[in-house]
Amino acid sequence: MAMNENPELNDELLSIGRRIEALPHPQPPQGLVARTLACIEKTVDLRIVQPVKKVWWLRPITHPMARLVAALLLISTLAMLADIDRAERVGQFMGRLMGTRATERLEVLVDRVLLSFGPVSDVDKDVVRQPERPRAEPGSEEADTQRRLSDWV
Amino acid sequence: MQGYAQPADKSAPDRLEQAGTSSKLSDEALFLRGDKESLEVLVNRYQQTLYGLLVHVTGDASLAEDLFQEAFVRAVRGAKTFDRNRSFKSWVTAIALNLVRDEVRKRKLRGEIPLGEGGPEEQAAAGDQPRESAERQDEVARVRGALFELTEKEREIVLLHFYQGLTLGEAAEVLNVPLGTAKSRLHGALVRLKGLLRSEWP
Repeated sequence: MAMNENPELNDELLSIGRRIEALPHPQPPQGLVARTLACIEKTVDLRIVQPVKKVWWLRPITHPMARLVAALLLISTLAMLADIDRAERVGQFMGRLMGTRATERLEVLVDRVLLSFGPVSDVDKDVVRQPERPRAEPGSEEADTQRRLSDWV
Repeated sequence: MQGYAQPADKSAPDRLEQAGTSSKLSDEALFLRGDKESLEVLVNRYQQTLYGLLVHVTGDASLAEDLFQEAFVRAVRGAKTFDRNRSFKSWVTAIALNLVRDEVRKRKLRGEIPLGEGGPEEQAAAGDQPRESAERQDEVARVRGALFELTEKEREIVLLHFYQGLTLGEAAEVLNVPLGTAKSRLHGALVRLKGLLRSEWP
């Protein structure tokens, strides 16, 4: 038993302590050591596995300001491409960077994607659908224009 | 299993030599070596005392086994945080008792039967000594019953000091309380136990 380090414990209290001390030490179950070592081994194996290397520029943007800046950057980049001359220059630059073959393939791919989404302007839509124009009222300015156009075609 | 303190690859004669010397090393030295042989010796040393403590604290042999394993797993996982000036015994005991407290909390939240109030099977598991006399078994059951009447903190200090054989300083370290608190808690627990045992067995 642990020595009486507490002088406040009289003989009566110490005798109770001795009764606690005399409690049986239960027999550990068979194979407890082996099972414990197996558990430890699993844990240590887990520690050996290297964590997935995080790529800095692929990390999610979490800061609100950084998100705003990223959104502005994206919008300004795409807005630049609305100018066809600038887009052409970007295309040429990419062509020089990636090679003609790769650029052509990319162009084909982009065309397919755009066509699969359908034409973007009403004029293009008309070209594809060739809708029948409603006939204008005879004698009206519209009817005159239609007649002149059909004569020209 | 690779050690966390030294390279694992060793020749067979080295391992045999190590197994021989391991049993002479202190708990702290064995733990800091961190190889399989050293840990085996260490777990072997503690399987009687720590497992016994857990059985008496929880009153459930199978839960005690789970907690015993988990305590060692956590100790190995946290090996880098082990303070070399601290005793391994008090450290691993503190981990085990924290696990017990977690278990108590979980059971409370889930509305399950609290620890120590299991059926007779669980109670019997702690003192499963068929050769003991009926009188001795009665005495064990009485003391165990009285222990579970104490609060968790009181039960812990009594078992750590008297059953586990820790000094009051070590027990205070395990429970993370000042020495004075440990002393007064032990005194209070023994006074309560005296009353409980007297009322049961006049």
